[in-house]
Parts: sequence; C-alpha cells; structure tokens
Amino acid sequence: MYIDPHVHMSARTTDDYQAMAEAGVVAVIEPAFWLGQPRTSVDTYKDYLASLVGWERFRASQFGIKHYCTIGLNSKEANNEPLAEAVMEILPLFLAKEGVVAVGEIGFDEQTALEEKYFRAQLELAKQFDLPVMVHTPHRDKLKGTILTMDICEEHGLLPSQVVIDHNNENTVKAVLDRGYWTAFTLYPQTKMGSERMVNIARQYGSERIFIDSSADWGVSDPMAVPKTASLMLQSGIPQAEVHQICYANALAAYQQSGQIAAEDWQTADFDQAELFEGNSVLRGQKPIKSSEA
Amino acid sequence: MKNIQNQPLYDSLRAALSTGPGWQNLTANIDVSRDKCTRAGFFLNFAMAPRWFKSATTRLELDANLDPFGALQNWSLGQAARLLILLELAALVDTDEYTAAISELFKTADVNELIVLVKSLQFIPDGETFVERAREAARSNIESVFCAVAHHTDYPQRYFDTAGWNQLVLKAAFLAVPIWSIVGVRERNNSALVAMLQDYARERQAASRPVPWDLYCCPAWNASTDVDFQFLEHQWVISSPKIRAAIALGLRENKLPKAQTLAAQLPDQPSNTLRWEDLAAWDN
Ligand SMILES: [Zn+2]
Repeated sequence: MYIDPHVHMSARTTDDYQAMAEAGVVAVIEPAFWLGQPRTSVDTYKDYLASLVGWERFRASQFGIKHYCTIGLNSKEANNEPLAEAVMEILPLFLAKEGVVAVGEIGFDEQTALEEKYFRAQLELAKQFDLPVMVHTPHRDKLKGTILTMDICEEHGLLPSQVVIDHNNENTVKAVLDRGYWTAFTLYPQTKMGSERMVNIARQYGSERIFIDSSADWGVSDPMAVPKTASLMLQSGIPQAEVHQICYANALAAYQQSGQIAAEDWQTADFDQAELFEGNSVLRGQKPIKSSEA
Repeated sequence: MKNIQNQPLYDSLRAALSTGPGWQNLTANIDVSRDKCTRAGFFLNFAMAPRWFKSATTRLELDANLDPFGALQNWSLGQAARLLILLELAALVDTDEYTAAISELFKTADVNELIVLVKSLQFIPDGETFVERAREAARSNIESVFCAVAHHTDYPQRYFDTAGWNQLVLKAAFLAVPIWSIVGVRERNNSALVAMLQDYARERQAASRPVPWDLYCCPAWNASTDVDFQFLEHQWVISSPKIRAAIALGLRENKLPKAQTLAAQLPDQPSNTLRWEDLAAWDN
C-alpha cells in the first residue's frame, strides 16, 4: 500500500488513476496549485478549489483511490496582491471541508515581500482551523528559503511536527530533519530528485519523518514515482518496514493531525460504495468500485 | 425574515440532534449566529456541523409525514445539523441575504455538502428559488449528486420545466440509475421525452450496449401511434426478459384499447400482480 501525498491529479488522466491503483496507491493528496499561467480572477480560483473538494475527489473514487487535498494560495500568485487578497477571503470557505488535510502548498517562490506576507497570513489560518501546513520550498536559492520558511513557522508558534517541508534535496535534508520537521522529497523523472538519489538518502538518513511524493502535474512528471521508488528501495536492500514508513506511514501520520484522513478510509472495502450509493435505495448499473484489497 | 415554515420538521431535527455528541457545539454556534448573524459565521457552522457530530453511525429517524419521499432516510446527524442550520438562516436574515448565502454555498460545495443542499431544497423556505441549482445537480456526472435531486423528492416534478424534466429522465437513463422511482414519472411523461428515450435506446443498441430496462415505462405508458407501437413490438423481440416484462407492464397501464390489446397479445406474459418495484429486483 502506498500514499502519494503530493500529486496534482486534476492535471492527470484516468489512465494515471488506473495505473496508480493497480500499483497499490490507496490515497492521494492534491495540494492547491497554480495553473502554469496566472489566474486572472478570484472566481476561477474558487472553481479550482471547488473542483479539488468536489469532482476530483469523486473521479478518484471511481478508481478506488481516496482523494484528499490541501487548500491554499500558492506563492507565485501571492505576488498579485489584489488577487491574493480576494483569495484569502475565500480560503475559509474551503478549509473546513471534508478531506482537507492541510493548508498548502504555501511558502516561497521568489522570496518576495508579498510571498512572505501571505505565507504568514496562511500560517495564522492553519492555526485557526487546526490544520497542518504543507510547505513548498523554492526551486531557486533553496537552502536559504527553506531555513527562512522554518524560522517563520516557529515565529508563528507552529510546532515542527505540524509542518511538512516538501521538495527537499541533499542540501536541505539535514537542516530540515535536525529541526524536527516532516521532510518530504519530490521525485522528478529528469531533474531534481531521482529515485536513485532517494535510495541513497534513505540509506543515509533512515526512515524517520521522511516521505516521498511524485508532485506529478501538467509538466514532465511521473505519477507512478512513489511505487516505482518503493520497488527500487526494496531491490536495493532497504528493509520493507522502512520502505513502508517512507512510502505510506509517515505521510499518513503527518496529515492525520487534520482529523480528515485515516487508514480506515481505505481499509473498509465498502466505504466508497456507501458514499456513491447514498440516497439511492434501488441500485442498478453502478460501476464496481475496486477496494484496495481487490 | 421568515418564521420557521416547517416547524414540525424543525422540532424533530432538534430533538434528534439533541441526543448527538455535537449538540452543545451546534447550539452554542447557532446562538452566536442568532446574536449576530454574519455570512462567515453561517458558512463556518455549515462547514463544521459534521465534525461536531463525529460519529458516522448516528442516524436520523423521522416520521414518514415529515419526509414523505424518504429523502432524509439514513441521514447522519451531521447532515441533519446542516439542514437545521439552513432553516435557522431563513429565520435570521432577509430573503436577499438568504438566497445569496445559500447560492454561495452551492458554488463552493463539496460533494457531501451538495447532496445535503439538494436534498434540503424540498424542506427549506423558498426552495423553488434554487431551481437553477437543482438543474445543475441534475446535470452532474456524480451519481450521488444526481440522485439527490432525482430520487426521494417531488422537487423536479414541481419546479422543473418540461425541458428540464425531460433532461432529468434522460440523464437517469444515461447514468443507469432508476427511472421508474422518480417522483412524478407518470404524471410528467410526454411525447417529446418518449421520442428522446426511443432514440437513446436505438443508439445504445447500435453500439451493442445495454439499455436500461425501466426506460421502457415511458414509451409504453405514452404509446398511441402506430410508430409507437411498432417501436415497442420491435424492442420486445430483441430485448431481455426484464425489458419484455417492462414493456408488457407499461402497456397494461396504458389506457388506450390498442395498448391493452397489444399487451394481451405478447407471449410470456408477466404475472398480473407484478409491480415496477418487483421488476426492479429482477436480474438484468
Ligand atoms: Zn505541488
């Protein structure tokens, strides 16, 4: 059983869902993200967030995968102040929805003053809604941005155990682990972290508070990265129990703090069907839902 | 501002909810709203209600006269709390704010919220104001959302125009959810709908895909022309025993002598006591 705790399924096809389910992915977490091009109004943002808690959650269920999401204003769009203000106003509408497991992905891109302003504001929202935080660390000037991110989280009184720092690499892993944060790695097929590098990190740092994700989106990326890397780890002699921690249990433990995700969600085989069949006393013609055990 | 128009339902909801784990949270937050009703406070209450009533097994039990079509059967207390919050809102704010706030909820709803909102339309004041929202639910590809508006409610029968009604029935066929149990399916049956269903059946057959058996109730009840009867006879020949029984049953319920005659002529007659709900339980 695997969890992909950071994957932008809205940008993926049903083939991906099918392949992931077959490979043993039981749950995905989809962080609110940008579109590749900037959104021009709060209304399109609203539709996007509504689709994360609505249609996408349903679509995943059709393939036997439980879908969760994180809600937030991403750092790139924090730089458009009027848009950011309007989005901040609607975030509370979404943060209490079922299956919302964190505020995220938030943090720094260019490390501008506006990015910092809305990052701080969203940390306050996380406290208000009692949700963990999923942090996107910057692709450029990464170590500095990562340390600044952790400093700010602590300034706002969040515990390291309530914050997931994502997109780590060899340069940031020690700083993040040492300060007690959940330390996530995104596996990219060509750049950044590859599966082989991840195996080495797991060898060196073990499995405590470390987990991996595919961050697959509309770009070159691989939604199968978690199961593939798990196989590679097993082949490389990393013990099964550690692979289980890195590819399933740690992400679950981190986001379980939201009260919105639990192993029971996919361990009860009829859970999906109960939801799908609700209010429908005479059933006929429904597509069978594959339970994780099937 | 309105009085709670459905006072017995309101009282029953409160009585049921008062036994639940979230009652204190719910009443405390409703009190805050009564003191000072803000849209943000209303949104928060609506969003949080199921979390206050954590246990998924607490079910709502209501008299049949409060819920004539059984829409609230097997509702969790969290869902019931959401309906109560909608009823409370109606009593606290003016019509414009009431409509605007509920519309906003529809726009940002997750699937479970959408189901509650749609099922609540038959119980809340001015439910007909939200007919376009109900039409959107009837366009949904999410089966549970579609069924929330299609089944256990007379809302579409009362408020959908003919085009909306016909699309609802056609979409039920498309999603392969029950047609025969849609409230008003006999009363609002019409030739335009029958023509669409006939086309749909032929299209499915051309693609070698199964046709929902209960789609045939509408053409059989409505059959009056030679073309109608020829369609049914042909379908009777090429279809499964369940569809044959549906055609025979529908024709028997058609008042025209010609329909009665055809019904009597069909071989392999289903029993005289067969009802649609019995037929629904047959294997396809
Ligand atoms: Zn991402």
